Amino acid sequence: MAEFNPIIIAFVCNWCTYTAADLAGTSRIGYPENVRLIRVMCTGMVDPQYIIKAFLEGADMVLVSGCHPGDCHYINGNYKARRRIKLLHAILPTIGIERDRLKLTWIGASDGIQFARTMQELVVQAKGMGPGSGRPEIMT
Amino acid sequence: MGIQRSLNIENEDILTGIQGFLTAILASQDIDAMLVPKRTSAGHSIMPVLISHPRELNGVDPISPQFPLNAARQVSKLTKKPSGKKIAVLLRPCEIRALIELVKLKQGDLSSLLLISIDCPGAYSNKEWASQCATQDMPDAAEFIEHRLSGRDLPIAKACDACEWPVAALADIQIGFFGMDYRKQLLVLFQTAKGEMLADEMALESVQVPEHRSRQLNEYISNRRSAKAQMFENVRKKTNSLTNLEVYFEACVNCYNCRVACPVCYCRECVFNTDVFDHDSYQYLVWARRNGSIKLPCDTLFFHLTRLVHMSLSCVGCGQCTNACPNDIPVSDLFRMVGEDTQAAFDYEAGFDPDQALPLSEFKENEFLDVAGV
Amino acid sequence: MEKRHKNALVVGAGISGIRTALDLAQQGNTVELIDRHPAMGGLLAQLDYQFPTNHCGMCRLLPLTRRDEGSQYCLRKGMFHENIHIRLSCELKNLEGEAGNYTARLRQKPTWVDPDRCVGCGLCEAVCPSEIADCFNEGLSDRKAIHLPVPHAIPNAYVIDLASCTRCGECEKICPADAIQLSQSRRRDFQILVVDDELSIRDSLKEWLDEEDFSVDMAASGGEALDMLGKKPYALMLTDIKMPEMEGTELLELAKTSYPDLVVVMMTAYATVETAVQAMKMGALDYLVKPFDPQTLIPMVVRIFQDTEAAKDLELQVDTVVISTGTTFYDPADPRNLFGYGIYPNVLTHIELERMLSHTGPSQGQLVRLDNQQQVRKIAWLQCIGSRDTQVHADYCSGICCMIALKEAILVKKMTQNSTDTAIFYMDMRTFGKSFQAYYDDAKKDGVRFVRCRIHSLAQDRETRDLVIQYVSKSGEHLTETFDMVVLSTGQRPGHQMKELSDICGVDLNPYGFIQPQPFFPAATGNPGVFVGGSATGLKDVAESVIHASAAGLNASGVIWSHHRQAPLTAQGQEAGPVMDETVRDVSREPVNIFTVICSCGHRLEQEVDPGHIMSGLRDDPEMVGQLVIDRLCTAEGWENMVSALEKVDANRFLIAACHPYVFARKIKTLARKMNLHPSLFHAVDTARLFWSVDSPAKEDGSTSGSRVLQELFQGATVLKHTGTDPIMPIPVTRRALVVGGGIAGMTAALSIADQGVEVDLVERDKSLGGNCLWLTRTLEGDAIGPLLNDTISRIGQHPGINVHTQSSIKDITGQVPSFFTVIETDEKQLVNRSHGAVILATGGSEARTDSYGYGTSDRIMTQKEVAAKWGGDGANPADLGTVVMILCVGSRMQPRNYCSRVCCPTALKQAQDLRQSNPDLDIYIIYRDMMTHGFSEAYFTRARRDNIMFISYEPEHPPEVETDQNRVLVRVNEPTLGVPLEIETDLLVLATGVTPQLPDELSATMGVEKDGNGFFLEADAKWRPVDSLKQGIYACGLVHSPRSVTDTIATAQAAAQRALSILSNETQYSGQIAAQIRHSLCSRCERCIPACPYVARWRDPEDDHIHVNDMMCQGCGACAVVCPNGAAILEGFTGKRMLGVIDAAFQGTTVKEVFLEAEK
Repeated sequence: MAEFNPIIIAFVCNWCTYTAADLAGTSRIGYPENVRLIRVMCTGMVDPQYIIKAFLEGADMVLVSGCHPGDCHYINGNYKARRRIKLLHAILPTIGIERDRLKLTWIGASDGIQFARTMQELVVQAKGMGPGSGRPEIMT
Repeated sequence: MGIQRSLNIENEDILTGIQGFLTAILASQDIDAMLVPKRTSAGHSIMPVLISHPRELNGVDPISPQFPLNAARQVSKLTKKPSGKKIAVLLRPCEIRALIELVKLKQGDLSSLLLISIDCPGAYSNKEWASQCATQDMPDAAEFIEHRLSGRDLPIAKACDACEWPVAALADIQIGFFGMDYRKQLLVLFQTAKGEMLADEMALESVQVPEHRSRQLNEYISNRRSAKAQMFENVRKKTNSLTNLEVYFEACVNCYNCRVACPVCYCRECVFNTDVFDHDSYQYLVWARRNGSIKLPCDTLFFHLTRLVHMSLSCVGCGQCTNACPNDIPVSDLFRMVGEDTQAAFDYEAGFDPDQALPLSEFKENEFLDVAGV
Repeated sequence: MEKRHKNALVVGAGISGIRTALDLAQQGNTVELIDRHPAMGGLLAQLDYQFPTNHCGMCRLLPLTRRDEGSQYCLRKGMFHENIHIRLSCELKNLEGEAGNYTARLRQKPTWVDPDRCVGCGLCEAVCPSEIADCFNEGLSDRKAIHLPVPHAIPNAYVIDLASCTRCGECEKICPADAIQLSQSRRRDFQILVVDDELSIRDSLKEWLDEEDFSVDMAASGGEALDMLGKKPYALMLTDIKMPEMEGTELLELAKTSYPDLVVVMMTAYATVETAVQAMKMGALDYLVKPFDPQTLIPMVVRIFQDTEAAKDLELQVDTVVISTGTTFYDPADPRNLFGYGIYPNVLTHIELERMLSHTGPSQGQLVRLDNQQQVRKIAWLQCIGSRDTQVHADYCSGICCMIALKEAILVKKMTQNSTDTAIFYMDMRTFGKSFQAYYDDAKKDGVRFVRCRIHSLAQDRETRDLVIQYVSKSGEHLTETFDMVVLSTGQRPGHQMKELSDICGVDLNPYGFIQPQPFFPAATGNPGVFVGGSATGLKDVAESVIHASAAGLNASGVIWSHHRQAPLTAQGQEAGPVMDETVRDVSREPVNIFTVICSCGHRLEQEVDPGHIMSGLRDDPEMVGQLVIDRLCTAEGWENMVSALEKVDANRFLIAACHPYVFARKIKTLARKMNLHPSLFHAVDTARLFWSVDSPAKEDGSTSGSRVLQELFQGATVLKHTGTDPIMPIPVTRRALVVGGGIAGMTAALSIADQGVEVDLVERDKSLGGNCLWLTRTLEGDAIGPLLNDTISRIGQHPGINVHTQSSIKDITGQVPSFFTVIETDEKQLVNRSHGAVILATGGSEARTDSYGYGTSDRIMTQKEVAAKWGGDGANPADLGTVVMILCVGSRMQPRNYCSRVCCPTALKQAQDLRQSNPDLDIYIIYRDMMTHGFSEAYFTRARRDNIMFISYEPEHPPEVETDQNRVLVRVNEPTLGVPLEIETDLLVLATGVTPQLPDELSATMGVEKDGNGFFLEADAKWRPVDSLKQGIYACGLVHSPRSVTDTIATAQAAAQRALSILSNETQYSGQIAAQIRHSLCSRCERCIPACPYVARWRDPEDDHIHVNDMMCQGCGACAVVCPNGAAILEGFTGKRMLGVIDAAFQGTTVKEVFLEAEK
């Protein structure tokens, strides 16, 4: 029986989390291939529309990850991102996308190991939750 | 506290009484024009009309159960750029609340406005109004209020039936029937400094707000709340998964009328009408292949979910989206419900305080700490 | 030898060297940035968390203007800039010439792995048998002889530490890129001559060296040796000293005369070591004491081989040199080793603790005891280890250890969820910098304990290995406390080989071996073309390092300017502008044709995936017109192969898939230029992450990885499909500066800018220039301020480029960088309109007022300024004084001024010293909280105590009390050590009231700058942009920035001037490729984007009723685009359409239905 292989779309900021992913790579620390990285300049530019799109296309989980609070290259983009995720946490559960399917994390540039661990943990959680309801047969 | 007066209408009907009152306001030196809901010449519809001559106030009708559009958008047009003129606007509570949101979005300006509102008994849906109009005589204003207060079964729009805000919070002048012997006398509250300045010119009798008013209002609201709870329960069941949501919107033809009707959808052009959604031909084939098939036009759910993100925080629950839907999708039921959730998440109340910042326009360093984390 | 020309050589690529280099480069100068380490970043490469955010944010150091000329990624990974050439593992070996025309000789050490070939695959590391302590982790973990110098750098080529390399050759065999060149042949070329009269010694030496693959010849006597030297070139001669025919020293002398480049090592018996030392003076490099074994000989020969033969020397012509070599730290395992460092496993230095707390550290961020790996529950910091200690020749304060300890304690508390007990054992908490006091208060709030004491000893419990601290408390009690871990806050020591470097550069050192700057000019050395930045003059925190680095940059750019006098500077250095000229092919009307190049990464691609699957996947998209696989694009060879292939291809967009796209940014620009295409028509995507970091489940057909590669490629293709190719328009710069405030800060800034050919308006509110320098007399070090002031004022007066407006003020400033519009109200109340490209705020500060401690009730109670007025000048006679009491921190470091004013403690010492000098019988009492004599001013504190000036400390909860009547002033204070109340009847009571800033609200409002909680200028970023305002083009210096001495003020003034010049030195500026734009026809004018912009770059213009973006101020974060619901505000490069396309591409190759059904199975 084929194992359920969740798709996780991760919007990562250019300065911190993308760098951490890169560091995980150069440090040979594996992270699961379920995770698909999409680089953005800042978490503060992640439009909720992108997250909705990812769910509608069939993502089982979406991650937005950037610099630690106080660390944002663009000063405060991560605080703005946090409010947007808060908004989506209020909207998505109503339409069957559980809160836990949308994550926000702060992963700094030197947190390569943390990045890999977080990704592994997310895959475990996504597997536990099973396929998201964003996988209807007709996509709109 | 403001100034409390009564408008005596013992010898006339409510609408005539209100018309007289509005005439007095329009006569005030301060007011250059007045935007009021007025019956069209054929009498089949009630539309916002900008009036500069008192004789044109004939036919003003703010109470009849028709609410063809949310006039906040029209007020926005009148005030977006300073005209140097003062305009009195007679709006339903939800129109005022939509206007407040538009003001926060720099789409209007309160400083040149005198806001007048009347306790709102709700309205029929546009379709219902049209069919009722065609088949029978409509109840007059007093009868309609009476039916509403007595809980009589009327074909009220769902949004209105579930509306907890029949009284405007922010009007400069509020005309009230709750708690009043409204066939004889209406309450007139001059609630703000702007309103108070006009109170003396109006030559009305002083009056105490009857205790009965809040009791009757609470009872009315409580009925609306149960209706709302019932509505939410129904919606929740119908939209609790993307698959169900798809069924909910199955009749949607991507006409975007809902967003055109929405008073707080202030974009000049919806993003779904821009080149962002002008996909490459090849892309449709990719999607079709990936999913086995793709319904066209596509992006339907995407549109509605995006709109939820864009405006649910400002949703005032006026129900015009449902009113505008050619295929009878209860858009408003869902938006109202989600709006309540999103507004609660930020401790935000759309349309009540012009100084309360839009939730996505501000942030604090130490807030919502539980949002982040694995 | 290579010969090159650069404007500036910056020695040391730590944070200060980077700042200096970037500042100079932004001006248009060319810079050679070198570092002796194989990676850049200096100390900060090791520090993940820095005060005051307790995070990093180093990337904020990157240029805001002409961003695309430099890297746009995490700065700790490394950087590039069009105008900076970085050379690592490189040292400055010689410097000749004069300011404006130096010849520098650089020596680049080999790393034995060719960085142009190394693909960083790490196969070598796996096979390397040699494990040694990892110096990046301060020896707390192990690494191989072949290793990455820092874990996060990009490009990250491996290096070999030859000292620990066994030369087994395994790495060379396995390297897929042929990057490792341990190759024997190069050693074979290294000719060694062994001269000894004893055959057995000759034979064994030859045997050992042969074994190491060196070429060895032997001579039995001096004569024979000279013969052989004449026949072929030798690199190294090992010679015995005692030889019958000709002494080794004579041979040395003769050989060196004929062959000056020959390296000679003397071999000597123990008895003749002195002769050997003598020989070194004659030119021998080193000596070996007989008998020696291969373990002694071989590393020495290898080192010589590495240093001489294998190292590459090159000469560089430069106008100026900046030394930013930083400091090293005291080694607590010195002969006294009082704290068992290196013996007790749980005793660490603060840098070691930083590594412990790092996720890339030895315990991956877990704070565990090193003896048993158990969680640390109690941890202590011991301050002033190797600082403020005359016994270790360190009569100075290291300046930042208090803040490091505070930060580490806060971090430990946070990382262990407050479960760890943290205690700092200290003498004085030196929280003298801007915002330090608030940070200290926060630490107290977080529960960090502070123990003011003297440490008696540190011992380890034999059984538990717990650490027992014995100390003497403030009140003289002997106490002990036990900890799991003890951190030694080790002090600063001069940078590596500072003596040698100072000799090379002709700069002076202070008695402790740090570079001694010139009085008042912290970046100036004795050599007029050589400057110093950062910590090389003494340890500094990040903000001060950055300030001093920019100040050094200013001095350097001044030299460059005066030797070229070209306006604008751009003409002299700029290698290439960011704008493509009209020869660039306009592809906007062509159909999209994308050609894809995939790097096979040492044929890893074929092992992991089916290239055919990838190719057919790509070909499915009608816009993907061609594909090519090339091996090892990251190597010079691979890249060249690709370039020649691409030139034959008919396409208008190019997608490159390889490892670490960061690396390609620069190469792509060159390639684009060559192909006449806009650089954004090229896009590199990362495949390294896919091959190496993806933790793939078992695959049967490799298709999974294939779809990952396809996803990545389609993401890249989407980027290319929606890429903008509009040219970036130049923004003309108003090349004129406004300086507000005519104190020493404003004057210095004005002169600095005007000296580089930019006109300046200097606006001063008072009648005359000078500010606080008008009443200051001398510094603590004894340098007179009068001459400095007079010289500065007269230079200003004579400068044709400076327009002084006294008794004037700023009425209004509108516009933005690089064109502000200023209205100046002059002394005749006339309004003058001027345009400026940049603004410097230098409105200063003044001595704070007080009404505490009886001030105002007696004329015997004075402030420090009043004392200076009365006794500061020469010839003042305080003979009528018998007793003087000084109270420090009056109203400072507590409400209402909860910050340290930094100048009061040194002023108190100076005034005490001066008064005592005039009146040796004077009794002086200084009542203080923490003596803030940071850095080298500590020596004056020591001297004052030695001179019997009495120091009595007090706690803010129990301040001294003052009683006055007509003729006397009585001070009551608790003497903490004796525990008794003292009553001092004094003739003079001096109150140190501190500094308050002068920044009127109207001024800050019209300039658009913000104030901090204490009314000082609020920096854009406390650490990384310390003199910049968040609103670009506005800078601050002097007391309005923060309390500081005259010298430190000049540092900020020069820094601010340099930052302003980075804009003003250029005729034009450019935005970045990724920048905000507005589609006016869609815009509803809701203005949500305006406050969303963190850089204040947007505004609504009432004239055209449009929202506008200042292209220079916009940094491309996209915060505006996301608040705009319909895409009227867009981020070019990350438009909504592109992003949605990229998301689609991320699902490439997955079939939703199938996945769904599979899961149900």
